Amino acid sequence: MKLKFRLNGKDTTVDVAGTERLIDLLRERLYLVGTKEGCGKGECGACTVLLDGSPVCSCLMFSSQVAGKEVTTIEGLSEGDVLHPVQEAFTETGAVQCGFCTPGLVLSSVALLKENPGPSRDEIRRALSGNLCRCTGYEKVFEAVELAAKRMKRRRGRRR
Amino acid sequence: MPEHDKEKRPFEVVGASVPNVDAIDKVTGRAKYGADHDRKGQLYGCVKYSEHPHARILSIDTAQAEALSGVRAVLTHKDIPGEKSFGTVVPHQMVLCADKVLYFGDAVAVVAADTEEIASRAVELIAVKYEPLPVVTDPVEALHQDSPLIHPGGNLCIHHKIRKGDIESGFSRSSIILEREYTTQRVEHAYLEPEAVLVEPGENGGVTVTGSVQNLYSIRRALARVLHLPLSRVRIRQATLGGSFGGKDEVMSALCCRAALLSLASGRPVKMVNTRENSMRESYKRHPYRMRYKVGAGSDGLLKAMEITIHADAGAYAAMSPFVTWRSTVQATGPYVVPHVKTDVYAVYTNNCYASAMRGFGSPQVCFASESLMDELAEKLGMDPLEIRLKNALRDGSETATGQKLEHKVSVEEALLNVTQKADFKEKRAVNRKHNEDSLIKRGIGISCSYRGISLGAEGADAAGVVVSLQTDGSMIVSSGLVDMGQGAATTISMVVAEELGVTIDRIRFLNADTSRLPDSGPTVASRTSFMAGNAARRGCQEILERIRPVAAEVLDCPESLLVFTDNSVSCSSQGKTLHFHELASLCFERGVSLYAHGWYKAPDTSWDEATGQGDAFFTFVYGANLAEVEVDTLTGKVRVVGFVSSHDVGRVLNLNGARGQVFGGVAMGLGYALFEEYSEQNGRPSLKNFDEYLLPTVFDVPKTDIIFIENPDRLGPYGAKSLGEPACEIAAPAIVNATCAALGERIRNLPLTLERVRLGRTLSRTEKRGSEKAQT
Amino acid sequence: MTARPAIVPTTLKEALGAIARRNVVAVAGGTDLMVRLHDTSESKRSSLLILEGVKPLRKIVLKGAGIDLGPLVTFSEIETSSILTRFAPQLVEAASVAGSTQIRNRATVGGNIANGSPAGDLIPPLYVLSAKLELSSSRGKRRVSIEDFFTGPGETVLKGNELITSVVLERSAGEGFFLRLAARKALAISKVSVAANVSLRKRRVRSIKIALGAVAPTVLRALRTEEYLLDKQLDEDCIRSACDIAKGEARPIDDIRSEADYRREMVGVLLRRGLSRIALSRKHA
Repeated sequence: MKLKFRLNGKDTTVDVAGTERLIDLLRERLYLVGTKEGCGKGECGACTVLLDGSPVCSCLMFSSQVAGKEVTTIEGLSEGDVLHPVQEAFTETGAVQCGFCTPGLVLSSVALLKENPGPSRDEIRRALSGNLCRCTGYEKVFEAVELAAKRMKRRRGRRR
Repeated sequence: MPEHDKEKRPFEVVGASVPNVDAIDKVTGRAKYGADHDRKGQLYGCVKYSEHPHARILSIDTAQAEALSGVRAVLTHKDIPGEKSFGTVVPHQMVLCADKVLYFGDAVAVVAADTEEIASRAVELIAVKYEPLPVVTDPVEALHQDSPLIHPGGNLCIHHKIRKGDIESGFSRSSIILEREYTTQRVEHAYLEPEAVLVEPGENGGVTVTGSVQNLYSIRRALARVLHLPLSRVRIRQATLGGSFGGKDEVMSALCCRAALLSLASGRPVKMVNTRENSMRESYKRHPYRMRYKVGAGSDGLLKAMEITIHADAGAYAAMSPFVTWRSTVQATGPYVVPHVKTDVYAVYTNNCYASAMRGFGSPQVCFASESLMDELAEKLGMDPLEIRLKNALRDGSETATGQKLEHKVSVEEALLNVTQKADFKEKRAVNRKHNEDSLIKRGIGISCSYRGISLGAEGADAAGVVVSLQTDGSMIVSSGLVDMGQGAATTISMVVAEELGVTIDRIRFLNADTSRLPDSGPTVASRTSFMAGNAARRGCQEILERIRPVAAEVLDCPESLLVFTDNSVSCSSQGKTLHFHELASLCFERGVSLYAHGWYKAPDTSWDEATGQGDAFFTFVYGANLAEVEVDTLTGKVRVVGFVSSHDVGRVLNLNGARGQVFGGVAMGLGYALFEEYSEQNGRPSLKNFDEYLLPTVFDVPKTDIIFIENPDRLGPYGAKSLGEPACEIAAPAIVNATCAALGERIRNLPLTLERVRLGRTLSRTEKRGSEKAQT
Repeated sequence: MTARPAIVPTTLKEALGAIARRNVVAVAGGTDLMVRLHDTSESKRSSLLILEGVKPLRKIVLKGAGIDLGPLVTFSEIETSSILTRFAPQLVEAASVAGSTQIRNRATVGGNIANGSPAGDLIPPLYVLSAKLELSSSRGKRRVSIEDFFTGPGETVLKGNELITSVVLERSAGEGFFLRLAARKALAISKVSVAANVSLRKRRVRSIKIALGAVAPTVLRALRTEEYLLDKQLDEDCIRSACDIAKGEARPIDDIRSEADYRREMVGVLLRRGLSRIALSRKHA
């Protein structure tokens, strides 16, 4: 079947069986290897992508389930060399160690800040509840999200 | 410039908080991990695993697999050109089993096919006939006369001992003697990135390996041995590593050997990426320990004697067990002065999953035991946990359990005081006691401390190198055989180079390790990288400075001693003239001056007498203390860690972001060890397979953590730096357990502290699913 | 790579026609199914019926005195629904603690029901809210009460040619709760769960439904406990006795997640916490 969806801001059409996993479509067919497979069962969140802006585990989705929808992977976040404020904050606070969980964490954080621009620590935890990290102990990830929130608020203020 | 001058100046880069040099690649998804590499024409490899934890292999029938369309190679041990086994200490770990399978994750055959799916189907078509053998699961029983043998030489892998003083005399002089047994569980590294490798045939008859490798040179040695190739024709390239924690060593040797065999047999590149299930099934774990401690002390709390007997479950293969248990031997007493010590540590083979290096390397287990024991002793004597530790702590000039005199600043006391003062330890204990009298949610506060020898100690040769290569445009390429696995080595080493040469970090590119370009710097283990690579990097930089200074002096018409290298330029401090670093580099190149240096650093020798367990085991030590505050729901058994303080003497903080990250991450790992994690096996078969059942700490579980670094610069370390990665992890669990036991008013001596264990006093008696497959799940 | 065939209908009629065929497996959110496919080597010959595009299956509407949920309503949608927050808070509580953010964005109420696990978090609330399921096939529809839907762990009365097309709940009686216990706060299957739907008149129990999860082959109604509590005042003694009865009604087993003894104890702990909370809120009301 012809799968039509929006991928990282571009209208995309791919010939698919419809029942391959979304993560395989992204990594093997479309060569977007930024999305990682950590467990294959939706337990670690390394495969997180945004579906119509909401975080989902791409290892638990079939390709045909994204028909007509918008998918954002980590590759779609920065504009050329310009990093998204969340990406910037992650690099500055030391929230990136081995980096394998990072694309998933960044996308979950981006989705959170879109919906809730000034989250409390508890709200951040809830939003990131599906992303496991074995390296950082999460503390610097929280700092990164808070830093990004602060900066994004300031930029919005300036734009007015 | 003489080395010691650097020590007096404040640092420009070292000690600062900088973004990791590879952070942008990782945060944009640009960084390529093992599974992200592909080659045209690649095949996919799949492993036929053993169906038994212990069995004789009667026959392996690959005919049907070979006949499947799309299958390009099916191999068994018969197809191995060189040795069938590898192993750094005991080379008996089988790449593909021949006569017997020794654990459930052993491999019997491998397949390479056009797609992963075909490879999996082919594996299912391989028919293996087994004669099951009795399964050995208990290390103590495995040492009995009549136990089934796993390896022909007997089930004892190694025995380390300490005989210091006169143990009986020590006990006879003790007014109190306690005997306790503590056990720890098998745990899994659980790096987020499963093992992945891509092997391709080299143009010159060898192989090139790209993958998730931690210890490139051990893997290269294994490959050379198994493939019957010279080391020079085996090239290992490190892909960006998605975590390791000691875990991507022997398991990667096995994986690389299998992929390489398939690659050479088929003439094609072969990619093998483990599913999480295969990773958990096959990869080695942390040793479960059974520890019996007998301690004798005076009524004033002064330790007189410790008798320690430890059985470590090494599983099917030796791997690093001899070294892991050696470190346990050195650290088992805890950071205390004990005049009479009798220690026996046995690593024993069983048919369980084999155990090898995991962050801490034999220390988390003994820290749990010694720190629990000290609390128990304190309670019996009516002392508080801080008091008894301060009474016995090692100090400057103290002698360790191995008879080594500590001739540097020993900061056990400083670390303990830091954490207890920060958290108001004494006051909290009193407040908690009152609160707990009539509350179902009880509160507890607990402490732990340790000493740890840095780098390899008596394990073997300890030397490392860093290449510093200055380019004519002023940019720099830096690389080492030591690896960044996420701990920040690339950044730390880059910071050292930036500090030494006065360049900004953005000018430095740190390369992933590659055996074809760099000499063997030993494994990236033992938290040795900052120290070893830091020193090596400084030497490399100094070599370069020696060559470029004369050129700068001439061009700037300035005496060498007045040259200042800073901010990507060199200037003369007596007059205003400045030369951009890239200009200097070009000039040097034009004059035929070498801009490449290989800094090499060899650590001081250590000593060890096997008969007595006495010697200077490590050339220097680090010290640390942790404090945990918990709330325990006594009705459900749920333990919540609500506060944590960590204080470590690191000599000197090099990479502040990285150092803090190591502590936060180490505490989380220790928390998992204390409360959640267990890789349980029933009769040699694992009871769980993936992260749905092996539970790691999530964002909800980590406490607010205060960090207090102590800097007592080491005279040998780069800028005085020592070590942090493993110390940050080894005493987190004991602090949490001590806090929980304080809250409950009773002692728990087995990890992990699951809800059931805290509430009922025991853990799952049966871990098999009863009834149908889906029974109540 | 050979993948199974996908059937992607856009109308309910198409979907019912497809499920009537042989070897067709329906996919709602896919979170449970994908895990099952991952864990077992289910026949690759069965086709997957992707229900994603069948819009009528995703709705939350007030229907008479009840609420009509489409089977494709996700946990996240339940969590943020103002109708459900007001009229089915037990269901909202369960949806908000299950899994993780990513799982909640995809897991559906229909999938949770069809999967039939006694540890499925939405099921105890559905029990106490007297849910009735509409099961449709190309030949017609039938209504089944949620309590008659499960026959064993992972086993339901759903026929191979049927889809769940509607879940109709009663509104909450006034008070209630959903509590669960798991090894971790996120991404952990419940060891025990308890849901209750209570109406009080002058602090006496006028009506009550209690359902226990993960302590029997299916979710079970604690009928003897309910009987005991009827007409009683929710004071400490009464609650304690009720918990003892509930512990007796549970039939837990040992498995990878927990032990029978522990689960039985926790039924009492959770029920007590829930009922005490209700009693306390009424005291101050």
